[in-house]
Amino acid sequence: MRASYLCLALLLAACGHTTKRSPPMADQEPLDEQEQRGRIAFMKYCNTCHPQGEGGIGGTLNNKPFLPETAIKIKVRTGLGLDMPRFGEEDITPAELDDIVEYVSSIRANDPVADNPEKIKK
Amino acid sequence: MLAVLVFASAGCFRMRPTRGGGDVDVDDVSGPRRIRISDVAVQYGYSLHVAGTGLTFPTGITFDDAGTPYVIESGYSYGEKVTEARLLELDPAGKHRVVARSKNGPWTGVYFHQGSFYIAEGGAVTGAGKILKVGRDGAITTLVDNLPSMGDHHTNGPVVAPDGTLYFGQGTVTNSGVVGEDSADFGWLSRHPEAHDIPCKDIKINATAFESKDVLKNGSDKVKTSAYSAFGTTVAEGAVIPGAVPCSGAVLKVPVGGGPVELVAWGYRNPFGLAFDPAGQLYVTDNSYDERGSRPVWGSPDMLFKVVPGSWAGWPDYSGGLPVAQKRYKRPGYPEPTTILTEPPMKPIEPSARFGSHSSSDAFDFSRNEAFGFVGEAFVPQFGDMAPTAGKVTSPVGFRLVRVDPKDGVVTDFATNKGPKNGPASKLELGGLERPVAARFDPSGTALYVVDFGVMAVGDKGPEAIEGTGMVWKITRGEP
Repeated sequence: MRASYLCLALLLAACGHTTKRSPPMADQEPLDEQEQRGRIAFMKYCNTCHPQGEGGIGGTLNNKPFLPETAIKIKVRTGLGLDMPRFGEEDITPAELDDIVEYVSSIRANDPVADNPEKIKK
Repeated sequence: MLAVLVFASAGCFRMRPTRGGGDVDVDDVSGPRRIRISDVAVQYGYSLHVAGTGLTFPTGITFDDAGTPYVIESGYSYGEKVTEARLLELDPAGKHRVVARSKNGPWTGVYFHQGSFYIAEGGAVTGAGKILKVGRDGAITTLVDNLPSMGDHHTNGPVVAPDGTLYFGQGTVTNSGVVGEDSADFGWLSRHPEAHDIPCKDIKINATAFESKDVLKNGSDKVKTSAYSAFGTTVAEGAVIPGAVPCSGAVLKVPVGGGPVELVAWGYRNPFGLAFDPAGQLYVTDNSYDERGSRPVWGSPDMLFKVVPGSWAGWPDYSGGLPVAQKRYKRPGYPEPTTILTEPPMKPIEPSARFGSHSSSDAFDFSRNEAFGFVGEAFVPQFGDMAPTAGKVTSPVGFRLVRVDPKDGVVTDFATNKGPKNGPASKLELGGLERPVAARFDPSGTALYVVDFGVMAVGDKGPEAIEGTGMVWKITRGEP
């Protein structure tokens, strides 16, 4: 029962307003070679709906605290959920998807608020 | 558990309300604009300045031989707000000098070349788009007239090549080829009921007729409209729609001294910004499909294209090289878009970069000076989404300045509002960026000027822009 509540909470959290900014424009951790390839592939296949990892017409990607690599791949391949299109191997090759997963993991590691202490006081 | 994580990560587009950047109460944002440089995060090592304020719907900037900046005020905003289009010498103290005026806005772009200003004039009300030549004394002569600029999108650009050829963009009349209820919502259908898109070359179209309310009559009857046809008119299967120049959704050119208009490339939707890279290659930004009207297309990116003479970018049947008649581009809960053309005129050209859907990525410039940095990258302002008018978003999109490397299509933030959430300053209750619409380097290439259209709320009744809230930002390298 507890697991069910946790699942429901996760689902509702994802369906809420969960936007998060892309990384701040300070010096960033340099991307490794695979992450750089992943960023290029991300821009081609993912940036339309998740611009720079933020929410848009798609959900926010850079605010998920933990999302296993397998979960990302299943999501991309099947479009699980209601509205995300599926991307088969004819669209995104397995190697490209590996690279995208690495890149998405790298942008999730950024915390723009923590990295940018000059928060706005309204 | 894993399945739930996967599902939860998906987002739930249909379950969420739309949350666009313009989702603000007009009364709350109608006062004087708050401006606070410290509310904007700029690329590390760069600083932001205020170059001019108190503008009404500014859309473009250029510089004369002495490096003096001039801006244009559009004279028209979506939401059918008509003011006066003006060319102004920008004064940091706010006492802008008026050089020229027009009642035929929107003015969407300006370029200074050999002693004259060249302005793209939309003519939203009259229906006649123009390219104007304006002298320093304010005298206006018409270089090109009667461009098909009466619909959703207007005459854009311009930019002048070193050889004296003036290039400009002409937007489409409709969202995706069909005049419909959204055309009435925009406000132009009752003024120009005969209007429709004009292909640049002969095309054959399918017989599909799109049903909508007869908004030109009582609104309760139904009417059918074919693509490339006036509202309420249909054509037979395989009908040939004759091509003509000037046409809709194209990059066109004309000698800067005047002459015939020629086609450069077509298949765009709203080719808004034009700029040459340091090597002399022309690029264009294209505002892509919206999720509205009789043929909504979902999930299409705004794009940056290399302008290849003779090429076709895919409108109205492709997006980024892919056919829109597939599940990927269907509005959730609605059928897939149907194909309009019986066959494409050629293989559509691939974009150099893809921006967020509905970001409204607009008039841009390339860095060409190492003193500023990022030479060869395009600096693209993003006006931001116009949800719900243009379609639904679950988070605000755009409202920033990005840089783009056209070699690999990587888009990187360059200036955004601070804080954990995205949006225009008015929504975030900050004093930063509202709706950046044009960016241009000064002649030295060391300062990047960013034109900010100002506050625009977007509600269920459409957009409502606030006069006097436009401004110009300046970005330089180094500390302030």
